This record gives sequence, C-alpha cells and structure tokens, in this order.
Amino acid sequence: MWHFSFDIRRILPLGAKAFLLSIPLQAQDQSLPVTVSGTVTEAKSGEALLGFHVLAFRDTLGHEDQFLRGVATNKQGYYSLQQLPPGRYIIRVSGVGYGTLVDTLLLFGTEKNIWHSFSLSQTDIRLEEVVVESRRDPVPTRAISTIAVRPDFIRQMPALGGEADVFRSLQLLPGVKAVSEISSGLYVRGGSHDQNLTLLDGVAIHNPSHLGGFLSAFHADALKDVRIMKGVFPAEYGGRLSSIIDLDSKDGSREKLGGTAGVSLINSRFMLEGPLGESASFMVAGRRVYLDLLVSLFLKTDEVPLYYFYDLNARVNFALSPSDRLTFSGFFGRDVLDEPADSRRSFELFWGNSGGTIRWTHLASPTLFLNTSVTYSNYRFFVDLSEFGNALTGFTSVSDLRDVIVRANVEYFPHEDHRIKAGMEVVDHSIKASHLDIIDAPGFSKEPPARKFRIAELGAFVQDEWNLSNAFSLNLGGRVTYFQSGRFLRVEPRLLGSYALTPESKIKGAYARVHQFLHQVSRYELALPSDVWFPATSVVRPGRSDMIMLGFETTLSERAYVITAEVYYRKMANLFEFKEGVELRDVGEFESAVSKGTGDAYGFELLLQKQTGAMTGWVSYTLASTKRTFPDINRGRTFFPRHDRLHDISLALTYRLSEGWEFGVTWMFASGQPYTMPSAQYAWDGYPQLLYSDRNNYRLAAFHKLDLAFIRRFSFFGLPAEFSINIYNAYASLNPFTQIITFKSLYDGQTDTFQWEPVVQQITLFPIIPTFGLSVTF
Amino acid sequence: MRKFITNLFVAISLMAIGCTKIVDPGEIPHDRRLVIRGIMEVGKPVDEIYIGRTLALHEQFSPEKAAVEDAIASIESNGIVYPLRYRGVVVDSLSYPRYHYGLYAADSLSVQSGRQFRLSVQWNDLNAFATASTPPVPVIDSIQIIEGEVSAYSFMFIDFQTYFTAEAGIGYIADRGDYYGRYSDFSNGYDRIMPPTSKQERLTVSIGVERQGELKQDSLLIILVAMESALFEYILDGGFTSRHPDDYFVPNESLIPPWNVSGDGLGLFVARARAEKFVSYTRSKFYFESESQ
Repeated sequence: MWHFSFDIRRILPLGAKAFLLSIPLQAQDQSLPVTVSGTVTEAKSGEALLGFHVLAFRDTLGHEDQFLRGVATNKQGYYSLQQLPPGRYIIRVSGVGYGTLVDTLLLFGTEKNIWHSFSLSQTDIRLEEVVVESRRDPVPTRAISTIAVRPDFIRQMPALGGEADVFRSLQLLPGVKAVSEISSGLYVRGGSHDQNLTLLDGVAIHNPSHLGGFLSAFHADALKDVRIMKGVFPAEYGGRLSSIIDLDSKDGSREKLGGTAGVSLINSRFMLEGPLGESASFMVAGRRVYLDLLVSLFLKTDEVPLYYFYDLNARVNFALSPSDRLTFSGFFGRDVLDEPADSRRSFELFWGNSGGTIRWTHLASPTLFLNTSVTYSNYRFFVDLSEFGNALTGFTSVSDLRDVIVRANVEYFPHEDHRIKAGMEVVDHSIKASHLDIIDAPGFSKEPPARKFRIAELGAFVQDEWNLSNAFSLNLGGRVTYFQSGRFLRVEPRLLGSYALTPESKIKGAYARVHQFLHQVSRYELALPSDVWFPATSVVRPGRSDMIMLGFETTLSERAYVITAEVYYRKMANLFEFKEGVELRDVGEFESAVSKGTGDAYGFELLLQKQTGAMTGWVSYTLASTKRTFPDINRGRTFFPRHDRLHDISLALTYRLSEGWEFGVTWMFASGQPYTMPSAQYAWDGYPQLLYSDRNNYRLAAFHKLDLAFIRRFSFFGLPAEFSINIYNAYASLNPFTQIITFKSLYDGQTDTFQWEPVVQQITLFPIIPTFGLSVTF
Repeated sequence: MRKFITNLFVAISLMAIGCTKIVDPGEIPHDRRLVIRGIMEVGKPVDEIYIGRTLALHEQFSPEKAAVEDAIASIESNGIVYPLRYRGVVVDSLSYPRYHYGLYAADSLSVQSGRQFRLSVQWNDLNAFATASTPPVPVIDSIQIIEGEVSAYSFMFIDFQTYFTAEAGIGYIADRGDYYGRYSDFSNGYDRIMPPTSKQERLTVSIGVERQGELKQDSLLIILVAMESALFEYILDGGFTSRHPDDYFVPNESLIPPWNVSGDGLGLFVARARAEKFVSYTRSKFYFESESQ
C-alpha cells in the first residue's frame, strides 16, 4: 500500500527522535528518493486547508538549514513533495492566520512514498511560533494578483445591520471598487460587475447578491475560504474578464456536532456541522432576512411591498476510502417581493440562485490527483404584474439561466519542479430571456416574446507550475474554449511568473488573455436582478480582455507583515452597453439595442497586510483609471464609467483587546466618482429644462466613512456567545449618493413674473447607523 | 418595466434614513446651443416657431432671458425661402395672461400635405438646421359604436371603434374631445398612440367613454393626428425634455433627447396633420352629426 501515515511527533519520544536525528545523512543517500504527500487540515474540525505552504529543509545538525523544496496545498488540502533524497528534514507548514508549524521528518529511502499529514490549530501554532527560531525561509509562493480573506476575519469586521458581508469586505481590497453604498457589486480593475465569475464550491452564482445588490448572497458562517483573483488568473479559470471570486463552503466538522446561531436587526441565521458516522461530515447553514416583518410591524401600510430573502447552504463529505472522497454541496437562495395585502395589483416578483455539485476526488497515486464533478447552476428572475380589471397595463418578464457542467481535472506531479494541471469541461447553457415594457398600444402583447438559447460550450486547459530554480517559478498555461452560439473558438494564453530577489522579496509578472461568452448589459450600473443575461452571438461577440501586470512583494518582521505592490494595464474589446435612448421592449431587439465598444484600464495597487498577532488586517491604496468608448454613446467620445475612481484608500483591521473583547474597524476613502451633470438650461414651453451634453462629465465629492464593530465574548447558558455592536458611518460623513437639480422659483411682484434658480442638492444615504447582533456557538 | 423595478429597489434602499444638502457644483462648462421648438400643422398658420438659447447652469433662469429675439431664420419649401419674423411678446389669454417669448412666424407660408420644409436659424456664431415633412391628412373611414352593459351605478361603457387607413412610416394619435375641448398639444391626455407601420394598412382604434345616468343625448369629438416619426418618438417619450440621464444613476438614457434639430441646436421641428369627426348620439341611437378635417 503506497500511503502510510507517519507522524514522527506522535510515534517517537523525544529521546528517540534525537537519536534518529543524529544518524549521519550520508548513510541513506544511496537509497531511493522519497515522495512525501499528505493533507493539511484544521485540527479541531478536520477542514482541509487550501493554499498552505509545505516547505522541506535539509537538517544538517548545527548548520544552517538548506531549503530544498516547497509546495502549496490544493483545495482538498493535499500536498506532494517530490523526490526528496533520504535524510533528515525539517518541514514547515504555514498559512494565513495559522503561523508556522515545524516538524521533523526522517526519510530512510526504503519506502518510495510516505504519507504524512499535518493538523494545524490556531492556538497551538501561536505557541510554536514563539519557540521556533526564525529562519530565512523563502517567501511562500503566493498566487499572483490573488488575495485570500479569511471568513472569520470577515465575521469580525463591521457590518451594516450586523450581517457580515463577503463582497463588502472584498470591496476594501486594492483594485476592487464599489459603485455605490447600496450595491455590493464588485468592479475589479476597471471591469464591470458582470465580468466577475463567482464560484461557490465550483457552482457559478450568476447574481451573487440579495436585496437588489445591497447584500451579497453568501452566508459568512458557512464559508471556509474566500479568495479573489484579479484579471490575471491561471488557465484553470476562465469565462469572465475581470475576476474570479472563488468561495469554498465548510466541509463540516469531523470531530463533533456543533454550529452557530445568530440574530441581528435584519436577519437570523444558523450553521450546523458535524460528523456523519466515522467517514463523513456535513454542514448546513441558512439565513432569513425579515424586512417584511419589520415593515409590517412599523409602517402599518399596505403601499410598501413586503420584501424578504433567504438562503441555504449544505455540504456533505464522504471519505469513501483513504484516497477517495465524495462531496455533495448545494446552494439555494430566493429574494421575494410580495404584494401588500390590499394591493390593487396582482403582483409576483422573485429571483434567486440555486445550484449543486457532486464532486469525486481521487488520489490515484502520490503524483496524480483526479477531480471530477457534475455541477448544476440556475439563476431565475420572474415578475408578473397585472392590474385588476385592465389586463392591458400588465407585464411579465422572465430571465432564466441554467448551466449543467461536467468537469474533469487532473493534477499531476511528474517531477519535483513541475506541477501540471489539466482539465476539460462541457457546459450545457439553457438561457431564456424575455423583457418587455408594455405600452398601451396595438402591436404590443402582454406576453413577452422570449429568446431561448441552448448552447454547448467546451473548454480545456493545461498549466504547469514550473520551478525553474528555487528563485524562479512560472505558471505557464493555456485555455481553449468553443462556444456553440456564433461558433467561436477562442484561445487564451496565460503566463504568470515570479522571481525571488531575496528570501523575503520577490518580483512577479503576468499576462492573461480572457474571453467572456455571456453578457449582462446593465442599464443602471446597479447590478439589478432584472438585468438579463445574454449569450454571445454572431452579432454580440465575446468580450475580450488582455491584461499585463508587474508586481513586487516582500515580508517584514518575520512575515508578520506582507507588502504587495502591483501595476497593471488592461485593454478590453467587445464590451456592450445599451445605446442612448433605447428602450428595450423586447429581447428580440437586443442585438440592435446595444452598442459595441472598447475600454482600457490601468492602475497601481499597494497592499500592506498584517497577518499575525492580536491585530490583523490590511491597509490598501489604489491609483486607477478606466475609460470606455462606444460609437453610439456620448456621441462616440470616450468617457469614464461610474465606477472609475482615481484614488482609493481602505483600512480593515481587527484587534483582540482581551479574551473577552474584540474590536473591528474599516475606513475607506475614495475620490469622487463620475456623474452626469447638466451643462446648460433652456426653456421648453416656457419652463426651465436641463441639458445633459456629456456622459459622466462631472465628479461627485469624495467618499469616506468609518465603520466600527465591538464584539463582546461571553458565556450564554454555558455556550460561547458573541454580542456585537456595529456602527456604520461612525462620524456621519455626508457622502454623495447622487445629486439632483431642482429649480427654485423666485416671484418678482413688480413685473408679475417668475424667475427660476437651479439648486443642486446632494443626497446622502445612511448617516450614522448603530446596529447590534448576537450569536451563539454550540 | 425596468423603471418600475428600479423604483422598487431604490424605494427599499431608501427606507434607511437619508438626507440632502445643497452643494455648489462648481464651474461646469456651458454647452451653448440654440433651442428650436416648432410644430407645423396642415392648414394652420406657421406662427409659433420658438427660438431660444441655452443658459449656463449657474444663471438665473427666465423664459425671457432664454428667448432669442434677433435670430436670422427662415423656412425653405419647394425652393421658396420664407423668412421668419419675430413676433415680440405674445400674450395668449386676456383673462389669465400667459406671456410667450421667442416666437417667430412665417407669414406667407401655407402648410400643405406632402411637403418638405427646411428650417435654418443663425444667431451670433450658432447655426441650427432641421427638416420636417407634412404627413398625409388622415381619413377616418367609419366609426362603430358599441354600447356596454349598464352597471349597478348606471355607468355605461361606450366604445367608439374608429377605422382609418394608416400610411407607411407615419405614427398616429387618437383622442377625443367634446364641443369645448380639443386635442391637447403634445403629450397630455391622448387616448391611443400608434407607432409607424412599414406599409399602408387599415387600422382600428378603440376609444372608450364612460357615461353615467340616463343621458338622452351626448356627443364626442374623435380626433386623429398623423405625424412623422420624430414627433411620434417625442410623444411616446412623454414629452421628453430634461429627464435626467442618470435617473437613479442611469447613465444610459439619451443625453440629447431624440429630437431632430442638428448643427448647434437642439429641439424639435416637425409637422402633423389631423382629422376630426364629430359624433352626436342619443342613447342606443348614434349618428354622425358633422365632420371636419
């Protein structure tokens, strides 16, 4: 049997360990090299830890350790150190939030493959960090333009309504922007919100928001890993121009049944996890927002529609054998807008995502890891409104996007310096889009004509993580996609590389070409759920992005701090927006209603992260600009889109004051965003009107706000509990949401005439809002 | 529909308390343009061509200040140039006077069906142009009157099914009035609007009237207005003037409304033609009393 569980810390007493370590190395050098593989998991829950670094050092007894080899764990927490010559090794395992675990390993060379797993516990590691002498380890290989945010960090950050929000946390990262306070939509490196691919356990979530974009669709308690890849991503990812937001839900604890439950001003939530027998675990989580109940309770009106949303996450893992694992995961979310009790209209409106994955992971050998999955994903928006007694004024609209994806990936470690990943996927897209503005006229029917598409998409990729030397590594790959609608065959080269200047510092660079075959042309830049997804056709061609980036990364104070600086330039083609003045009454007109344009973006991003200690978090600065040019918009002149902001500074910190108290703070500053202001006024039928000449010809005032969170830990009937107070916009900054212009009339009694004076009013949302929440862990 | 949904979402979002403050937007470059508003009608004099100009955003506004009194303007048709004459301040009602500024007239121009007109306006360094063509005068073929059931409160719905022949590329508005009322000017209170069709075809438009009580006799004016597509789009857009292109951050609406004045101008210069049929009826017995076109 090739796998063999071997944990020298547990087996050998300290004296015996010391004896083994004193065996001269040369005695084993003529034996076979050994491949050491295994998993890295969280000690308490058994959760696989992704992206943790496993580094092997030669132990030369009294001499400085020599770094030999290092790898990062994959999504299943698996690692493989190839071809280690027999001898003594110090293995260091490290990851964000866990510090460094140090272990000693003795390889005799009599076994070709050794199975050696690590379990990390946050508390233990902090102690070990103090004990272990600092080494000049190489900087762990961080994925380029990729930032991981720990879900437990997100939960400690201030949140409006006490509801931790994944996307709002991501908005604080460099290169990621928001268009307004009411939107959790992400605008990454000059791209629009539809250019992000959000994956939850591999399921594409096409509209990852609730409440019209106000909250993201993900329950932070249910997540294990959150990472965002900005613009340049490895060949295994594709299909969107701007970013990949890769979320993994928790496996569920294998140790004991437990969970969390919480209430806040706007919602209640729960998460339950635990073992299912000896070889399986589960996790189930849900949320329900009760704005509808609040409206009914306080407003006492029949005029305001009742709104609520809920979502459910579930995941079950089966360890079929030591080398086979089967995972079922599912997601279901719905936003519902109900008609008031006395409404004169028949009204039905809902939207939401659902999806699921069955994944089988198989370790065929220590050098071959297989991952096969079948995924179903659906986004559906439905509205039906008809006025009683007058069917002519009603309308219905449906947007339905279903994907069935069969995906197979292999991860192969043919050589100590190569890690090859290859895969292919077959996607069956079913898209139904209808959209209609009913006008009371002959020729327009109540039933909207729907456009239906059934499209096959085939994709394949191959990439090689190639360590040319201890200092120089490359991720070289390519992706090929065939999209049936329009018969597009697109090839995407990807190249990412890094070079270590010193053990603490490295430079990195990347180029990526990406295509997008599904468009969501938004009229409002608000990422509304009513925005229709539309596939590429022979007219509406696939979007394209070419990005090049260069960066520098270094660590300070024994890696407590990481500083990352990146510059990028990006060119985008085949972008689509609605032509000016177009009212899309029928999706049949979609191709003629949109204008094809180009865009470019460039920027400089600086990120300082504090990863260990009582205080963790980051400070970031972004200098960026993006522009768009469309022949049918703004008279063909280039303009800045709404999400363009030149300067952006964000701070996100959590600080553990004591065992009982924790403090979170976020502060953000963003220079003014473009806005369309009138460039003149004129008379029309005797009354003043405004003339809008140029799109986004003006900048609103800068945006800045401070959010605070105070978390008090205490015992609640013997259970660990947290009471949190969140203060949104703590110093009540009057940030611009929009500006409106009204005319103030001035009566001249002598001449019996009126004059009007234009008055510009700035509207601010959300002045200081304190909220609180309570959660219990069991 | 999108607007409805947007309103809904924004209303929900605004449930949180917001506030406003007056701000100084600073200097915004002034887009200097001429403003034209002229709607000609077959058989009617051309005496309400408005010529104005834009004012900078920081200026106080008055119709008088926005009007242009000394423009050099003319309308050319069939090779003949008709100069426009400034009419001065026009007062349109003595009982409740309303003052109009910037109105010009082409005194000798007779608007006939099927003609093309080209407007040229020059003022200082600004030049604006527009072309209009008069549609054929619509012909109401017949009107079929259908009585509904009398409700419990003596309401009765009467449907005037109006038949006419629509010309290709011409839009139509159907409206109703009585002895005292008439078709309102542009976008207010029409009953039905019909988009231009690609070919000539016979259409029916249903105009409904609700009556209460035991009226022995009543009357109705059926009005049908033909117009070129620019006017149709304008009316369809609800008399689009200064709707903010960013309604709830909507930067996708027209920056310049879909009007047809080109050059350094903006606005509308169009033509229309109307037919009217006056229907008198007694309950359960209807007949045409008079007809005018």
